[in-house]
Amino acid sequence: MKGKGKDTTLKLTTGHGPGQASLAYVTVAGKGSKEHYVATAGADGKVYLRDSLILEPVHMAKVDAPPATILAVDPAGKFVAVGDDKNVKLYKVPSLSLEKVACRFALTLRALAFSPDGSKLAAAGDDSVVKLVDLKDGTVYRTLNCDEYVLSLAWDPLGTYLAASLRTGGLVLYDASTGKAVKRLDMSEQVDYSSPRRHTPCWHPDGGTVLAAPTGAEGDVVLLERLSWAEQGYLGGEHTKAVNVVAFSPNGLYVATAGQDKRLVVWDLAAASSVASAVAEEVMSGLAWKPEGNELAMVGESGGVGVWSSPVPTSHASPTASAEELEAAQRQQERQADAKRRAEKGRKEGEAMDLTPPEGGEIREEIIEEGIQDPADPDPAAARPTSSGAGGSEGGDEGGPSQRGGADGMGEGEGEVARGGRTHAGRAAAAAGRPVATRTIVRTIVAPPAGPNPQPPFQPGSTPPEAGKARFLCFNMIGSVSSRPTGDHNMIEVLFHDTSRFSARVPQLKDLYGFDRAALGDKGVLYSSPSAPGSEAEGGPAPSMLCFRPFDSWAPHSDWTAPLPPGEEAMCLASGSVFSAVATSRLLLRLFSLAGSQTALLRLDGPPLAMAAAGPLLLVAFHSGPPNQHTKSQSISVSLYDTIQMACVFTQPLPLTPGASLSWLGFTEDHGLPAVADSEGVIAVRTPDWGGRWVPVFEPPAARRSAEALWTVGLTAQQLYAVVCRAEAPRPPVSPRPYYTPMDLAPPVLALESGAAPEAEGRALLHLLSCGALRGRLDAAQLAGAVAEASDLTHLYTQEQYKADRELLRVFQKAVRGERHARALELAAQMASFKSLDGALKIANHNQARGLAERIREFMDRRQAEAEALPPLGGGMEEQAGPYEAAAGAAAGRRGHACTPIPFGRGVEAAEAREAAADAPSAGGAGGTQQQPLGPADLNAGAGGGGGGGLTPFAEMVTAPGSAGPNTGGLSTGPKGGRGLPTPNTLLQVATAKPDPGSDSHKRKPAPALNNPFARKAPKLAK
Amino acid sequence: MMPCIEKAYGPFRANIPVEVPLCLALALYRRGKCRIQAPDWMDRERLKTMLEEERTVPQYFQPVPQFYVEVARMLFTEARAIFGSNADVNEVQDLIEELKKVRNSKILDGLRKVSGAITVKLNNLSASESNKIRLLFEHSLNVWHQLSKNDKQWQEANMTGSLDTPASM
Repeated sequence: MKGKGKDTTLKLTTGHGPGQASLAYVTVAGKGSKEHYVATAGADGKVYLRDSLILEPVHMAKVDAPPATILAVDPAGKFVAVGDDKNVKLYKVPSLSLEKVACRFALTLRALAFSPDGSKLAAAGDDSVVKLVDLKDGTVYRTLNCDEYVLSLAWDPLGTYLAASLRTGGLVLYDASTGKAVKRLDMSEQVDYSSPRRHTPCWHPDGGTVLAAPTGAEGDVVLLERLSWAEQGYLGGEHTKAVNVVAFSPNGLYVATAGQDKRLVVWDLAAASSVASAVAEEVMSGLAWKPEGNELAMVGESGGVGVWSSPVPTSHASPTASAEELEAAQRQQERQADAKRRAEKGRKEGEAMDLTPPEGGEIREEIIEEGIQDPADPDPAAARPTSSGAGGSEGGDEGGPSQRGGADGMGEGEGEVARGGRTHAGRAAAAAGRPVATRTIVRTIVAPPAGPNPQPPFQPGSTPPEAGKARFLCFNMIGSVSSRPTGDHNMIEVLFHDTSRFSARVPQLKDLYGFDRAALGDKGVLYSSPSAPGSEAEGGPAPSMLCFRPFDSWAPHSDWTAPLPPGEEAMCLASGSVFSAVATSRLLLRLFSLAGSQTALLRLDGPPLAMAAAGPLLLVAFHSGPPNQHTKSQSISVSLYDTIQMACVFTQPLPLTPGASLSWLGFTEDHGLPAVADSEGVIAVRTPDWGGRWVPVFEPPAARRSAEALWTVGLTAQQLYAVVCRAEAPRPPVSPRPYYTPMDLAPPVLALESGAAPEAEGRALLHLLSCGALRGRLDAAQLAGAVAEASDLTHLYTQEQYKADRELLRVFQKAVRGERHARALELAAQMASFKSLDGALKIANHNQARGLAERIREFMDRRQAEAEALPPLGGGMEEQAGPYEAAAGAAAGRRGHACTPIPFGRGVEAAEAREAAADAPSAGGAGGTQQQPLGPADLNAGAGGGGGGGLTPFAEMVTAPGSAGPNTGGLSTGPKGGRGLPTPNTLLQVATAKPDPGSDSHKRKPAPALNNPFARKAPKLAK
Repeated sequence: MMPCIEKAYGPFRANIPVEVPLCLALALYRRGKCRIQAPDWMDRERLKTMLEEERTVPQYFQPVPQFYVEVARMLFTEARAIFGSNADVNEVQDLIEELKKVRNSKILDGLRKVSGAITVKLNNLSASESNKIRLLFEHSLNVWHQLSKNDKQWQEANMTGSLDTPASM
């Protein structure tokens, strides 16, 4: 730093005798202009008011008791206070006639400071006290005791604090209003009693936010923050000996310091570096910036007086410019730089022979025509359409000048766009000798919309780190992994939601690596730490570490730790039931078995974003490209790997809500379908149908979106589990431990006119989605010959079909009641079981929808015939001749196992329905009066009116909401009273009732009632 | 699902809140099988506003849960940890104590004003509070009633007496 710039040599003219001296600028408001004077006082006891340019004395006064060591100017510029050996005297400006004696001291005065409003004066010296004088009445209203000689004083620009530097080297800050010392600091070495040292501190003119004070013998200046009085920074490296005086420039941008090494340095405060320096022949005793312009006046200890003109180089902002001026100057500078840059860029582009738009940007062309134009003559140049990239398609002879012209235009161009101008006469027009039309084509390069950055990788269910606070490394449906900083390491705690899940509690892990990611699987936890730059005591940079801790293992030392090679960082982790996986910054996917053998090493297709595991499945989301600049969407793809089969099940792009980023990645708990959540809160599940598309299954309700944020934890086929957080704090805290709230999934289906509530249709869609997932698994199991699994799955599948049918029946009922028979028929065709179809038929009959009932019956007949013709589980893919071929065919195709393979008669069906109705009392429907139904129910016609029929107690008690019969209040013909035959509503209930496990369509026994002991008890209960 | 006499509670799934009776919650809590979420009204801010309202509005009582005294006591004795740190517990406890005191003084003030056989409407009184004043209140009202009846009789007797006397004489 030293000797960086050449030091200016300053020549001082002798003004005073040797000894402490002081100076200040005095501004006298003249007529229309301000005149600046320099007031100096010196050891010879003289006070001069000097011309600010040539320093010639204009006025002079002499104090009674020399030396006149200190001088201060009233902020209003009316008085000069001078301290001599005994008194503080006020002299009028500019005549320097004595106004009054402000206060008296026993020993020499050393320091004076006016309060910022000019009403008070602080004076101190060898008397070891600071006297505060009220100038109006001339009384000492407060005396601050400081036990030592005071070298200098500085009053804060807000008037609150008074800084005093002491002979012992201390700096004391007084609260001027109370007189209490708020802070004592040790700054410099002790100096002699007779030393001319000053150690003058200085407040930043901007409200005293910073106090600069000399510190140490090496010539440093410390910057103290107001109120905390903590060291904010140092100005050092220039002076070799202690600094004597510090002075802020009037706008606070610069600091001038003068030291015992006879050097003067001007510092840029923002950069804390020197901008100029000078040497003089003597040590400076006083420094003052001129209030206007760029001048620094000084007075030395040998009595020399001088002015350093333009201490701040012209390349820097003026030391006195106001904030507005500075801002304007900066803007100007920026504009210039911008223009220069643009010109440069434009030239480069011009050289590249093309106005190539930046990626995503475009060139717009504007044609301005001047002169006379013959409208009948279509000029080819004028007719050239305004198009992007037109510059490139320009003809060769014209292209050259055009581009050059464009570059020149851009060189001058200033502002948002660069322009290329071109003036030419229309060729055709010129050739034809017609009046010449001049046209100017202005090309404008439009910058591309700034695209978002690619989303950084994350662990699903982790919360961002906050200094000193615990955070979740992983929070999922199994439990949580939290990391709590304690001292120099973290404590990692693994907790399970279900505490009975593992016999032993997972011990706390003392984390010395600084793990910042964790994946909690059902067999163990995988941790990773980032690599650290090598300032470790162990030597060398710490690599990125991987660590796996199993929960229960039969063998000791089942945990493993592995460092990644230098330059490779763990980005995403996942831990499944048979494997652990890590995706690294080298775009490698490393698969490990649970005990740590490395089972696979694959290259990823892009930078990893997130991973999730479930069982043997691994889902990897990665950036397939840079984010789209127009839609502001991330370009993300996902791959699903099966680690047992060693197969990549699929790789496909992952569409998110436009503009959103991925916030969670996982699987549905029950079916293992890949699922994602984005930053808009929309949850999407990948359905195996439709060739594997993403279905949005949940959108946060608009009404609550502003007040709360859902932090996804997991989801099942029907419900979302999320922690409900406030919108201000969208991440849950570790303590208190968050709990999750189940929320029903609701795909954003439409509410059709006179249709069912969209919720019911949404639920039906969800059930169908589950059916699809189950069917896929079932097919796979059958293909693999896993009989037990297949039977389990078949059972689940049937159950799911029943649930779907139940919802469909609800929608069907609404459709029938809304007189939408065609839609109702389509709905019926989607139903899987004959029971449900029967229910649908009854509802149709009940609502007098004859045509509909007829068609349903026909459809049922056909399906039954088909089912009889097919072997059990035969696929059922044949074309179905339904009443609505397309719909029925589609339905049958979609639900290959929909038809129950074993035929059953209607009598059986009815009997079973009766049993089931008794079986499910809580769902028992309120009956409706029966109207001439077709099919099996026409036996029941006689029960119409229902008065004679006995009342089923259950029917009386409960009405199922949503599926209640058309006339809920009506009397019920229960199964008992109604000659053993069900009403449509009981049948609807049959369909909606939970299927009896094991007794249903898949392996239906002829007499299912026997399977159900409760069914036989029901009549008894009824009595 | 846990079927009980009154109704069935559950299903209990890990980390999903279920509303259960206090006794069940505490029983599970003692076995370390659950975490208890303090009821809404025991939220510090809610209690503060409630206390403020209770103080500023002397005419009527703030609506409080019927068994707030009992619930608070149970939770503070059995499951202090659910409120967070010790300071938090003490703050909530202080607030509830304060609320109790304010309400009690209000009740006593109200009782002082009772000076006859009147119908008193006391809304939003919690169980323990109504129990506290019931005996005294009921009896005093009875006495007042008796007195007023007697007074009426006496006056009637006076009236009829003054009328009757000459006639009977």
